[in-house]
Amino acid sequence: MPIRLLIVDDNAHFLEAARRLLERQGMTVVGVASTTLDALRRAEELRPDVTLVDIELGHESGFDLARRLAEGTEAHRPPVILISAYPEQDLADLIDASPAVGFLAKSGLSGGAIFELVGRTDKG
Amino acid sequence: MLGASLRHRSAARRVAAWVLAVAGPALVGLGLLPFRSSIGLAALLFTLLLPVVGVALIGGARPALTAVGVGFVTAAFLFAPPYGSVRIHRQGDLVAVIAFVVVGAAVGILVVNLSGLADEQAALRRLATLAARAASPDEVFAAVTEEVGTLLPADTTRLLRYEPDGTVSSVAGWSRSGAHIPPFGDRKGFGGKSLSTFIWQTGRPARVDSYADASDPVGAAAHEEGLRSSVGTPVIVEGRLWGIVVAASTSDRRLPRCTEARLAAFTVLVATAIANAESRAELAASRARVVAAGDETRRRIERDLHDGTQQRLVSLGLELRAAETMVPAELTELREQLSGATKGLGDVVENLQEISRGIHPAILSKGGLGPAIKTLARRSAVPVQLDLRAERRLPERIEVAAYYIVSEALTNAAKHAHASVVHVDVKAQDAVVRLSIRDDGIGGADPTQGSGLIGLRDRVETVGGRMEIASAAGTGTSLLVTIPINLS
Ligand SMILES: Nc1ncnc2c1ncn2[C@@H]1O[C@H](COP(=O)(O)OP(=O)(O)O)[C@@H](O)[C@H]1O
Ligand SMILES: [Mg+2]
Repeated sequence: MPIRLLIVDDNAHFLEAARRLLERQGMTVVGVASTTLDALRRAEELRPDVTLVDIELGHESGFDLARRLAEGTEAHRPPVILISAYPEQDLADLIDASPAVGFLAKSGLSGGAIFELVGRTDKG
Repeated sequence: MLGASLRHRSAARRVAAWVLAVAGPALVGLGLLPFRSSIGLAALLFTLLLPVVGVALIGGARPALTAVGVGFVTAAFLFAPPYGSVRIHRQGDLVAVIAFVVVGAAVGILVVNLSGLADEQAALRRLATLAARAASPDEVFAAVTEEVGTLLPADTTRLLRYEPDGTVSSVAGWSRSGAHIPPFGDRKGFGGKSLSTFIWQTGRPARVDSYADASDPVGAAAHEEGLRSSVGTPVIVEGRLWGIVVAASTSDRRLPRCTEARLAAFTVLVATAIANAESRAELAASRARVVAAGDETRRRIERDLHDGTQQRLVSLGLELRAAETMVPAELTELREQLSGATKGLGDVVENLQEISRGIHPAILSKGGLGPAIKTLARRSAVPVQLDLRAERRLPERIEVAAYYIVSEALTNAAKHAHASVVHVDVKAQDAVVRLSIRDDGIGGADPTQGSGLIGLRDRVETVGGRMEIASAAGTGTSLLVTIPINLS
């Protein structure tokens, strides 16, 4: 069964490009959002398997959104993967401190990488 | 010309002077009485000049003249026949005693004037030194009001500044009793019968003998505080009327006529101190603006690069990779070309990340000082022992300054020190940030030999901090920096 994704990013170009690539690679992108509020609502109604969250959502912080998604509702607490155009080492301390299951650089985004991160958490 | 005798003295000193004025000559007379026949009147009169000079030094003109009087009586009573009476029989004795009175009075007044002048000069010199040392204007103002108050027979002194909104504000004050100083910064309107008004209108020294019929807020306040005879002189800074120095008495004693002239000497110093402080403050502010503008530009360039170019390139990369997946398997050449382009694009993205990081570190604006310094420590070529106590966010200028200090010190340790470890301590818990970066390398760091350390000093000073470098050859290098946090 393909992984069902919600992508949260405030950059329309990126949403478009990421959706096209990930679907090609066998994922299902069930929805996209570009603000915290939108993201929380979508997550609630779509129940994705994984949510990709951009660290920078305009003036909002992806770290905050990741925290709120992780607190989640009783019924649904989807794993979050943080994404950014910054390389991981630039923000490592903040990423470590967040409840996200992992981080992917946007330039290295791929279905395989997502699958690996989620699979790893399923096991542990 | 009793000008300098108007210098004010403490009550204890005044009492001592009067006691000495009365008792001094009498004691000299009684002390020399056993030798009356051998030394004669002239020697006594000569010796009597001693208490006169002493009293003049401690107590001023009036006690000194009194000492002369007491000396006259002592000489006439004890040393000039007939003894036991002020009458003087011998004409020679009479001439000698009159000569004593004239010379004594002249010496006394001369001494009083000279010592007053010396005091005034000393006060002016102290203030000039204070103003020349980069003392803050507030410090100079406070010192001026105090020195003027101590020198003049005034009960209170004030420094008032004309404000752009048509009021005057009190910027410094002193009072003999320690009370009666209006709160600083307090603004009051003027325009009626007050020194502020007269000086504003004429640009010249002015005098008011009573505020009983004051008709503006400054005057009314002065009346309420019990000020009476008051003298003010204008403070002119670079051609414009900046404010006034006021000396006032709270008793019904009128301030002496020379007060205006004596105040004026101090007013010039106040003006110089203000002009110096203003140009220093302007320089510091403009330096801070230059640094802040530089930082702001770097932050904006980094954001623009990241939000615009970088994001766009990343998206293009994803699109290329998506296109790659659509290429039929048999078109190997096209596939390879696409994959090569993707790889090239990836390199460009990485390159740009490197550049952005050098322009402004993203983690600093997103995570603050703590995470940013951890990142620096992790990336350092020389191993770092980190002691980090900086949880809260600080004003951006301070975070940026602290970050660049640690960054430069770590770079230096790797580049010049041949160090095996660097200790980095960062504490931002109280009202100051303390940074200490110590390496165990060869030492001998010299800010004049490069651009890094000297730039750091500029940066530290623009946020009001201090930096010390200890780097004797062979003992490693330590950089100690303190930056106050409570500035906006
Ligand atoms: N930690 C250090 N240990 C030894 N020498 C140092 C150290 N830091 C600086 N120096 C010396 O002081 C000079 C000035 O340093 P700096 O102002 O940072 O300039 P730069 O690093 O650009 O040469 C350096 O050229 C180097 O010779
Ligand atoms: Mg250097």
